Amino acid sequence: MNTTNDYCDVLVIGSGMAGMAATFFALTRGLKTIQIGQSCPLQFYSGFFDVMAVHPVKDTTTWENPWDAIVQVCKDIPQHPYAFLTKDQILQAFSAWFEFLEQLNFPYHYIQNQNIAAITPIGSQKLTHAVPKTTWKGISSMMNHQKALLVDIDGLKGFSARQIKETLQNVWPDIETARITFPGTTGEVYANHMANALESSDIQKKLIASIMPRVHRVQCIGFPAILGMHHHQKVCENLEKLLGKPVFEIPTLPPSMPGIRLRNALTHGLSQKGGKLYQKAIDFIEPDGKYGFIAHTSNQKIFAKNIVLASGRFMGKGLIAQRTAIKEPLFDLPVYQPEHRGEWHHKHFFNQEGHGIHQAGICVDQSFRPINPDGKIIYDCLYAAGTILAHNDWMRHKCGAGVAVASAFGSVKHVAV
Amino acid sequence: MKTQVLIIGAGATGTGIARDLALRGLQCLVVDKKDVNSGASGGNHGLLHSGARYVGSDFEAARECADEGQIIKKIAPHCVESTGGLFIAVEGDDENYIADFQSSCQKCGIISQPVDLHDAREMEPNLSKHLIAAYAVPDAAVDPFMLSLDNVAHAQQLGSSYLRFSEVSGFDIHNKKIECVHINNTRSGETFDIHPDWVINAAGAWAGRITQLADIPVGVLFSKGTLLVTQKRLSQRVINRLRQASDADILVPGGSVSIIGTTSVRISDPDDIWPTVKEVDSIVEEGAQMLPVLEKTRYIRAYCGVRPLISQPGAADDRNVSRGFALMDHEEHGVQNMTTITGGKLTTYRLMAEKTANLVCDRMGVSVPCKTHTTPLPSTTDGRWTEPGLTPQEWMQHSRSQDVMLCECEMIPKSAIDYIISNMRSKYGTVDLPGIGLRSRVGKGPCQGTYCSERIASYMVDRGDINGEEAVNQLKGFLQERWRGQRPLLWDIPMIQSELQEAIHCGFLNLDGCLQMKKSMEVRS
Repeated sequence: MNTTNDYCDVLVIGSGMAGMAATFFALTRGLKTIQIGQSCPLQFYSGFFDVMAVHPVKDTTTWENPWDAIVQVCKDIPQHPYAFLTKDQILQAFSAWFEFLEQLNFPYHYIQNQNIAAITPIGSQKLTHAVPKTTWKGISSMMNHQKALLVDIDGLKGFSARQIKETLQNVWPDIETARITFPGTTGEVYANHMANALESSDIQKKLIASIMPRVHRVQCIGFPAILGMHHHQKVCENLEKLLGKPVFEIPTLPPSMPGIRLRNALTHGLSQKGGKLYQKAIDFIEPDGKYGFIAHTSNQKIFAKNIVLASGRFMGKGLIAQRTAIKEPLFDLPVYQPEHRGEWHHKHFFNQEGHGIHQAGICVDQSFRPINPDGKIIYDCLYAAGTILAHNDWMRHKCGAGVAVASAFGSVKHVAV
Repeated sequence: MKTQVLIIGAGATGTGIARDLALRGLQCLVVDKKDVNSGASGGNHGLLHSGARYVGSDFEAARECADEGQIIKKIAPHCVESTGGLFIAVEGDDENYIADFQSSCQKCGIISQPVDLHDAREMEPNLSKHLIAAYAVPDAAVDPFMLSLDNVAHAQQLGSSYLRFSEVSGFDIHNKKIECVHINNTRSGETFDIHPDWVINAAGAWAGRITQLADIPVGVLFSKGTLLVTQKRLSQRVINRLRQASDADILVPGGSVSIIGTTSVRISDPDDIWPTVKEVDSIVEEGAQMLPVLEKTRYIRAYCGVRPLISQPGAADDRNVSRGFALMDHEEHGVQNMTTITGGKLTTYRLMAEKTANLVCDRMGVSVPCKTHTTPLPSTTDGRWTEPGLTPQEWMQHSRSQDVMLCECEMIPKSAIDYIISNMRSKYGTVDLPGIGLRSRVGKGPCQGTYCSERIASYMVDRGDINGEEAVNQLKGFLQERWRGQRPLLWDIPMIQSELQEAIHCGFLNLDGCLQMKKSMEVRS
């Protein structure tokens, strides 16, 4: 088979939040950038942009101000990825990122120095820092105790308007619910199919026909996240025009539309900026004296001066769990981890302190370069970002997206060409 | 509430006794502090022993198994898969034990046929290359949940009743007779009294706790056995290691999976049992000597059961003690209308039920003989959804394209959930997610309930079965129960699965945290 050669300043491994952000920051710096990822991890993303909301996790202490939370986390966990950045740097990373998303017609809403309580598909609330604008409209209606009509769809699993209403009743008492049939469907329906179909204004009209008589009684109308695939903003604007009221979305269980839309928008936007994005596997990587590394795929050699490793944890296969130990498969980097498998997970799934395994990962220095247990940098031109980093329990601290974007920024900032 | 016979414990023995007595015309009430098969009856291999396992240690137990196995195959064929079994030895196993095996089987009336080693590996390609002996025996697989659910359903048809989540909290004893039994509903916290003519204590590992309430000293010790479920079926037949009973020497196929176990670990509290990483590693390593594929295969679940051991002097090995059963009359302890039955094996549950029922009938002056060895066990719909692969068949047959698939791993559609819910509602009045799990394959596939638990909970709220808060609590309870069996098996793909599960339930749905913000925050934009 013919192999082609590719050359770049930065090879980003991973196409999740950290990989996308690293690609963005590298392109913004004018670096020749290639991104390579195997799957589409962003489709599992809810759209909630978490920065930091819970610390210490063992007390489930929640923070209204994510920056106060970060200061405390960095004091208590000096190896936490945020601890390698200043507040200004993190802010700079986030504002560049949100600005880019706005350009991609994927606007986010956030309130300076404040976490917001987002609504989940079971009606629970989760503290996050920023959400897509159409998600925000629901949250602000809730905060203002507006009357809302919450719609769910026949055959859409795991999304019950009644459940959300019941679970939220103490914080949002004025919800009415409606169940509608998605035009032209019977039986099981899927969020992505409906989102695509809703790009047609004909389907939009049919969708809302049955709820029109109830619209005058409420101030806003909520839907599961199905409102458009590629032209989400336009679909929402049309629906608002037809209904005469603001509409909002609540994300469904993953794969969820906010994540799929974000992936589509970023893939398009980063290619436009000159990035090369490949969806394939890396067979192996060898260090190279002249270039930093040579990455081999089935039909390609990529000569990379630098690599940002943003391959995620177990879902992304950035880390591999063997029966006896956790490994990093591409560079065989040392992985910080509990001593025995017996310490990986606590007996209780919802254990307040989280699970030992979530402290595991790659240790880096201040420049986000992986280090060995003695603190020595392993490769001069290798960086790591995102959930693969050690001492970062993103699920319990609620800090996944924030750490991904901030550490991507931090890695790329140190890249020398 | 009055009843002729109160049976405490809805495991294989308790439900078996209920059916036995009901067939003799007695009216029974079965109570369980949890639900059907919550103890050892649900925590075993699902093996219908040919008896060959016991020929080296206990001829009587071997004979009982041989006879009972035949009976269960006849009366409850829908619960049994007649897989046949192999006893195999590998290099290094005790040759004396192997040499005596066939003649010992013969003495107990068990047919064992030597199998050519080459043929054995053709029959079961996953067997080790280091085989040194193989014998075919009439082992079979049995679905213990279907068995108990059908036993209790038949007893109910015959006029008996079953109450779940009903824990015995005390007895009123007057003139050496239990007149009143206090019951506490573990879900609602309500208490009520039952006035029985006779009490049968079939609480398994908890039998000693029950007798203690009546000031009767019965020393029960506990031996925990852990088992692993593989994602694929690894053999057509039951595979036994041809040696003295030890760890991880039985592999039983069941539908589309296989089960390997067990261990034997003495524990102090039957309510606090967890399959451990150490046990799992030992099962994988030992089992791989029979079938090397066990080192590589994907496991979906670990679980354990507690063998109750009645302390007997001179019994050295827990495993050897556990095969027998103890039937106790408490006259000498000063209680005239109570019987305790504990121990034993799933294979001999019917015989244990018969002997218990005989004793109780004798004491109560009932002279109707036992019928369970000849009367077929009706296949009811209560147990049918526990069978792997049944719901997809139903779904295909009725080509229900309108029917939404709530669980994709095990292909369980809304219509099946509707059926289980209405059945539970008519029988118990209440419905809960863990109860649906027990009565179906929900949460038992590779995703271990990551998606289907949330979907079914939200569907139950939609139907009005539970409210939003109950949905959250039941979801958490269900996931925790699944977690118990996932935790020691999390490497390779299951680790990825569990990370997704935690990302959804903790990272996204915030079930680990505070679900409702105390106050609605001010908008400061």
